[in-house]
Amino acid sequence: MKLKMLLSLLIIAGMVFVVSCGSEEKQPELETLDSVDELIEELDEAETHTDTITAAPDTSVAVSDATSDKDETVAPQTESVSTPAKPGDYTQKPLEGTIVSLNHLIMGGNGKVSKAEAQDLVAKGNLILFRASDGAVYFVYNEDGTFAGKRLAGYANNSKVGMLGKSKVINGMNVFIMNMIESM
Amino acid sequence: MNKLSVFAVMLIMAISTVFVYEAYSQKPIQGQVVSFNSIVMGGNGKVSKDEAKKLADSGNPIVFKSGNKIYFVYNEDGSFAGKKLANYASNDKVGIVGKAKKVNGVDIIIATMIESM
Repeated sequence: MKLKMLLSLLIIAGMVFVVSCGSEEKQPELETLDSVDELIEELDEAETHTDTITAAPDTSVAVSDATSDKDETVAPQTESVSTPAKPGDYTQKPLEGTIVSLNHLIMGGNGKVSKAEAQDLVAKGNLILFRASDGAVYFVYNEDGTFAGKRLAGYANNSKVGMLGKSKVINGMNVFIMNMIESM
Repeated sequence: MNKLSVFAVMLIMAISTVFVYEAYSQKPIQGQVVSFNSIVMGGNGKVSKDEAKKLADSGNPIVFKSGNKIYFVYNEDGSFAGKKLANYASNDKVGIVGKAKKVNGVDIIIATMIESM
């Protein structure tokens, strides 16, 4: 009787311990270096990197690969360094790219969705964005200041879409104020 | 049978206690609920709860501003949490517990808990 009770408590304690251990943040693994020369090279690179951070504005970001740049527990302390986005004038020559779902990008996908999927996502309040050929992701707005996700969704089946308008960077994110959109 | 039930209840209680403790022990990121439209158009993003709800319902992004950073908040199931955030737009300070990450230059929080502070 007592043994069974003790065993039960032991199992509970074990589970609590396992769950608690699982939440601990992992320490980054140290890289191993083969030679002193490699270490000197890495230190030189680190110095150059620091200079870039100092020179870059606070709102630097964007233009990166399709995978997530970092994943951390709230609140983030460090800022990843990436190419600062620049405002652009696309009133004459269109910005080319494809329509993507931000949900899919977050879940590790390539963002590609069909027109029907995109329209369904928009209907449920999810965000549809534009990814330029260079990989930069844009939040697209109509000229009246409304979000153009619904309009973009209509072009999700097209392999290439062109937009006329102007791009700007707001809090490190690319925003495109669109005059016109067309399949290419 | 009776002992088994007691054991099951104890087990569930222990596990749920751990999960609740985990959720509350994480430090929330603090900030305000804002309209991304307003920020894009040069405003400060501040909107009332009703305005935020209206915007969210018509597909406009309601986001979370903490310091100079704008976060797009997502639910754990992968859906955008703009509509959920809209309910907190009138609060001066809102806390979000979750995981922050950057995807294609966009700051994201996968929220496990949102609360007014």
